[in-house]
Amino acid sequence: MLKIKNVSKSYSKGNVKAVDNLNLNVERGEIFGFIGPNGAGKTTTIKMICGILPPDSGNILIDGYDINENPIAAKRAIGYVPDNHETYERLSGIEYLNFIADVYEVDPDVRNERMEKYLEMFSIADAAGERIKTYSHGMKQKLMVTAALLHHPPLWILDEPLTGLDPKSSMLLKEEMHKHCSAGNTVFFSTHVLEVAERLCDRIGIIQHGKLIAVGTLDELRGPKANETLEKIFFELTESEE
Amino acid sequence: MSDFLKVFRIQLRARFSQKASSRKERWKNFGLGLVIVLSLGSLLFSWAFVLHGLFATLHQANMLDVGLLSIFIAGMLVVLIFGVVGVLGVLFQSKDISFLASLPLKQGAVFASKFFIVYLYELAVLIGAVLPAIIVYGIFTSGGVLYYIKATIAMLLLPMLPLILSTLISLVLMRFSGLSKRRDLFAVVGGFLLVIGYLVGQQFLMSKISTMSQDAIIALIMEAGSFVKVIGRSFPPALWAVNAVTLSGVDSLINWALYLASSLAAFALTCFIGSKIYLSGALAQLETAKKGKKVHFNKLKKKSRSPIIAICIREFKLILRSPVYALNSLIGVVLFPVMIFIFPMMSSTDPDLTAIDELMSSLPPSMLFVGAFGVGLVVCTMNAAASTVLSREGEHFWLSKVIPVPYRIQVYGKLLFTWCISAVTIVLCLIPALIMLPGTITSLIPAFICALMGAIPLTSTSMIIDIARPKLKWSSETEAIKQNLNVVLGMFASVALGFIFVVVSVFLINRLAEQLAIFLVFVFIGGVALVSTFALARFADYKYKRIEM
Repeated sequence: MLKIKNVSKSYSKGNVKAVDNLNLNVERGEIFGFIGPNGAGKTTTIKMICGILPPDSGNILIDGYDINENPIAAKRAIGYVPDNHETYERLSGIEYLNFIADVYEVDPDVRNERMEKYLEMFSIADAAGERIKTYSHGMKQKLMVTAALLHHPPLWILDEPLTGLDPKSSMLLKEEMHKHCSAGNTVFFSTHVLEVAERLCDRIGIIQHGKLIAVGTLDELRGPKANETLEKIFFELTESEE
Repeated sequence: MSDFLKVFRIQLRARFSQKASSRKERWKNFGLGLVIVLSLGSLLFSWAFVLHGLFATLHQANMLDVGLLSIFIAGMLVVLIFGVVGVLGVLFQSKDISFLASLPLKQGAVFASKFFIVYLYELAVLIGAVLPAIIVYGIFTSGGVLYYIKATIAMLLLPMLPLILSTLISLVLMRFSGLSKRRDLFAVVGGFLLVIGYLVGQQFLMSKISTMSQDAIIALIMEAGSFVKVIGRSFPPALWAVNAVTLSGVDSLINWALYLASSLAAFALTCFIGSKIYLSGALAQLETAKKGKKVHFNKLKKKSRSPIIAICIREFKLILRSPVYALNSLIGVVLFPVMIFIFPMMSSTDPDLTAIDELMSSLPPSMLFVGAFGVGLVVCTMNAAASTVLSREGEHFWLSKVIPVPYRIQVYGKLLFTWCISAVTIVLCLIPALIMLPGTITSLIPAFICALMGAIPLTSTSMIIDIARPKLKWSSETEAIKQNLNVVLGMFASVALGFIFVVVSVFLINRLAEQLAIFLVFVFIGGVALVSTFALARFADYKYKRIEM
């Protein structure tokens, strides 16, 4: 579903290497967790996958489409939830969702059904007619999740999705991620909450200084130390790379 | 360091500090700076040239002071009108209000620091209008160093009183808007009503003067100094400023005292009021709704829109709901129809316009065509919505890169939106013209059709400029539109392009049969519109993917 081949990205005219020759395959039906310290290159990688940033070199294939060669087909396969929730705050929630549904060409009956389902599920249906600028951080996050799911994307990408969510919404989101994968789709998300990654992900990738330093299932990452937590593995790996 | 200086310094840095990271970027900035200096320089030179002609006539009638006073008053009025927009944006709509409110700072210090940020914006505009007049006046009166020092001080203080008035109006507006659920609509409508109110009020005053007999006006003019007083009566501080600069000795000192004392007293009073009520008004803009608006999903629309229409409608909603964007982008829609057509109607002592209609109808249709076409193009040159089309997206730009809509289709949606603004302005100018001057219909209709088509390359060009160098990092909507050089560059490009269109029209009309010439103008503008739309689409495809954020 997602293939990242030899992707690199630098900032400040090449002085800062944000992503360094990254290679990664994420299969259909997988929940993939992308973890790493602050500034490791998680968000840059996600932005390149979604077409927000162009890579300096390498290729990113989404459902077989190269994001740079065939961006429209690739973007159609993605539902993206950003980490900062910057959006059109002067639109109402429902106007924003309708706009997203229009540009993703979601049939009106289908969109109304999905909007109702997710907005009710996240308990923001009552605020859907209000301007987004009146929403709390968590409400904006829920709206972004709803918008990303309207077209039922084969690849759902979430950047730090649990930040700002209340416990009930976190649980619902995690359940939805499971359901999405059970339906044959893929979820790729970054997080700082290692317990969540540990419990939720089929596979985990650890990135540091722009390089993928480990990837695999939790058992594969543990290796011979069968009872080790992801937190311990993470610190061992990242500190040994320092 | 006082609270005021701390906040003022950080706001200055946030808004104006810019570092070029590479040599190439420094050269690019230098080149851009040069273009701006040359463009603004030519504009200032033209303005100075016009003023020189005007002041020469006034000099002969021994009325130079009237010229300086008129420019001072005009400058102050511009600050009064546009100051409201600036104050709304910087004091009430900027992103840092809640952050500043959380800091242990005095409310008055935050208020004063933001007031002076707006002051700097308005001063920059005012200097462009007033400085040439000061220089031209100095040339005619052989002003010495003292004159220029006095004039510079007076100029630097000139925005104070009108901006204080704008601020007081805005404080009241925001205080009441905080009570309304539709705060943004309240501010937009309030802002437009203020502009219209000012225009109508000024026209009312002028019509009062025009009711004076011819002899009385001549006697007034001939009596040195009295005409200055009549004009100055409408805004005494402008008169004190002019007298402080142009008179000498005790008279000058008295006027300086009046000018400075009124400015300082008004500023102190405004700071006092601001320190009491500013934050409650500003924070009211951030308050969340108490009661949600329930959405009935079974009643939602059953039709989807094409991406072009969806983007166009989104742009309309965003601009109409932001007081800063609406007042800056749509001001032309209100101003031009009022200025061009409604005023002559209001000021005319003879409400029967048949004579004017007959006079206009007697002109060669080709001349009327070129005139109306030119007017139609001029109203498109002030379309700030086009020259900030991408900058306004700011941090939201990620969405444009993520959605599966080709970039060229996205800019078609935006072009449709910006063109609609120009088109509405043109049509609003046309309707009263047709009502007032029905005899000119055969010239006006083709001219306005050509202008509607000419609006496409004008707005496309402004959009290309903004896509080439978008200002996506800003802390307030005011910064995105008022501190954006693309607005100035877009205006210059539009004026240049409009000038070329008019020159081509005149060339064709002078050489060919009238009907054929108008048809060829139509074909020419249509061709340019097609090419510019194509160029815009290609450029968007090229540039969008290279914009990083």
